[in-house]
Amino acid sequence: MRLTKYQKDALQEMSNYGTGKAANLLNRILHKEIELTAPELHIIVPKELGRYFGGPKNLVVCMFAELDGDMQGIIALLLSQESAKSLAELLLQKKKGSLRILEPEAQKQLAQITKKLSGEYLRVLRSFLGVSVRMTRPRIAIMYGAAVAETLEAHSFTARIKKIALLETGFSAEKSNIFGDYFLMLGIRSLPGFLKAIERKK
Amino acid sequence: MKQIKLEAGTSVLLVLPDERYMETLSDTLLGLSKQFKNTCYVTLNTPYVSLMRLFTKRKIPRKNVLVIDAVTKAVQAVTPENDHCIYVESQSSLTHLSLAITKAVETVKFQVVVIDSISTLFIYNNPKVVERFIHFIVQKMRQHNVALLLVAIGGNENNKELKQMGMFVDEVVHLD
Repeated sequence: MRLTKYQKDALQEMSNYGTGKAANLLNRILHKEIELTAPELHIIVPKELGRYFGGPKNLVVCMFAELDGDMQGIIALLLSQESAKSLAELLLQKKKGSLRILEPEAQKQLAQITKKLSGEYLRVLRSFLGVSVRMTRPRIAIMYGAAVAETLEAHSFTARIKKIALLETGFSAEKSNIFGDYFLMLGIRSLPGFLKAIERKK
Repeated sequence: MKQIKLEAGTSVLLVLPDERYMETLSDTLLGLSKQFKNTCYVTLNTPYVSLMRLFTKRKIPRKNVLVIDAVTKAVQAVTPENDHCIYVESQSSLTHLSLAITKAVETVKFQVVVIDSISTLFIYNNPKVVERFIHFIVQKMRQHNVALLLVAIGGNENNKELKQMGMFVDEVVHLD
């Protein structure tokens, strides 16, 4: 499946709008300025996931949720250990540098914020495009950056599809030392319905 | 490369450099596979699929390895059936891990248990709780005459805790 420039731009714009809404929500929760990079769209085969996730050789904190309904896919939020702790400190209203471990309450808060941010992102898609999407409860894992791509490649969702639309957005709250990446992975089969909805809005 | 002397009923804490962790670990595993036939491998930061790719790439025999995987279930709700892997619910639950390891060594005659890596445990748990867990596992392996290799990532982060861990094991090995 080849996307026209218009379709690519529309998908990126949609993602921009969704992550923008999610960033505003994070800003309201944390009372911190959140900066986003422009979303990047990559149409790839599962084997190419390593190009986008395979970078860090150190341990990263990942939050995953699966999507179902009109769109099938995976949402992934990746943070360095330090960023995850800083974000959890803000969410738990703890002093900067006071959180030494990702205790159960911190894990719960990180999963909840992933749910809230993704919920906001998906709400934009639902209301703007009229698509129906459900999301599973986010799960948290710490793993080697290089292992993230292989894990996603072997995921039951990825095993069923030939091509993936990967939308990647970087976010940061520089003053709080939080840097992360937000990924939306969609099966290429989800795209025609998605693109039709965009066409209708044209 | 420095060799690790691991014998039945003994325990070694292996501290590996962060930047070359995977390479150094796979060299060590290759060495261990020549010494021990049956291995129980507890992975706390690399999912089973990824780990098996590493084994294949570095020609580490996979046949007699049972993996206890504490990562995959965090990524996908439904895990594939696999005779060579036990998926445990959470990376942070030391109770689940203790039960899985104990059951494995009591059911199959493993010669060596590898825990990779205890550094992950320090991210989720209080050092005192990790100490109690390690102490329990070291005792349990001694009791079953199984060799135990505890892997940790070097660096400044958990130096104090790793020193403490060193008191429970027979030897601490730092590889550069």
